[in-house]
Amino acid sequence: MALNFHAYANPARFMMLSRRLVAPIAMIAGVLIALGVYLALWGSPPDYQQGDTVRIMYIHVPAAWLSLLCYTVMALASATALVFRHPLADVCAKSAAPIGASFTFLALVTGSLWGKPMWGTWWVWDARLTSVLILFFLYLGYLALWATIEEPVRAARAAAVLALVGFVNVPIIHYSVVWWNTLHQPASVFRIGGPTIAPSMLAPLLIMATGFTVMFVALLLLRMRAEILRRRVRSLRLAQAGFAGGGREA
Amino acid sequence: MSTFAEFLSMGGYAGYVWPAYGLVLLIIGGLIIQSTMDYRRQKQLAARLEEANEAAGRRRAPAKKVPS
Repeated sequence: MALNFHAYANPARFMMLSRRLVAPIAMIAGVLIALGVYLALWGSPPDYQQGDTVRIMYIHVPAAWLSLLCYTVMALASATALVFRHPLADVCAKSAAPIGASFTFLALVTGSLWGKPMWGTWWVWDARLTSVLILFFLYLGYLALWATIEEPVRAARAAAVLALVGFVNVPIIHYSVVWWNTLHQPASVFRIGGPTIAPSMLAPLLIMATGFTVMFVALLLLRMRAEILRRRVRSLRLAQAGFAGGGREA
Repeated sequence: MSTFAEFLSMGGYAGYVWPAYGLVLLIIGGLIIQSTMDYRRQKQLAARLEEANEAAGRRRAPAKKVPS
């Protein structure tokens, strides 16, 4: 494990290993999501209480899971960057952030579109909704730090500290429906005693969630590759500027 | 045809279900396109700069021995 960890630390090695992975992983994600959408819209029954609005669940719940998974990846990578100075950790954390922000935004908006017909309101300051909104702002703050601090090493450190401090919100989101049980329903899949959801609805939900997760992996790898290239471009430009400057001095 | 219209109506909740799915398509699709385009651009830039650097290195080869 420790050996592997360092074997993948080298960006050049990462570029070589990930080169042929992105396309096949994205294709698997595409197949899973297509199957998931088919089952979600055609192949599953309407809910006996919620009617067809239950079909929003098949995108809302996976988006919400992914918003937490992305943040966890970002926080773990940030911790690795701060403690071990792992050269890929920064790249991983920075690349995960826009994906996480997108999934969080989708969780919020699809939740709102589900809440209006079922709860009678687009938004309520329920603990779950509020903590997920804070998660969205954490992602935006994280991205803003990267965007505003010019010097990459300082930007990476500040962003990593924010990601770690913000991680306290992740368990709060998970337990919010238990601690402050207001409007949002409690967990019905990851609960003690097993899922309480009907199998005809659990299957599309799990397929969709797997599809979203695999898509996240493909996007993360692609964005990490782009980020490594961006850093290479930056250092090549600096080197050329250095050559040109040296030339003038000589 | 009527079953298709029924499907589209989503039991009267078409105005909530379809925008939700449309938005997911838009955001995830946008993220895929943006990530792919950024990757291609960086790859192109890196290749161009590496080539320029090599060419510069060849021209500078004799001067390289001078410590800077």
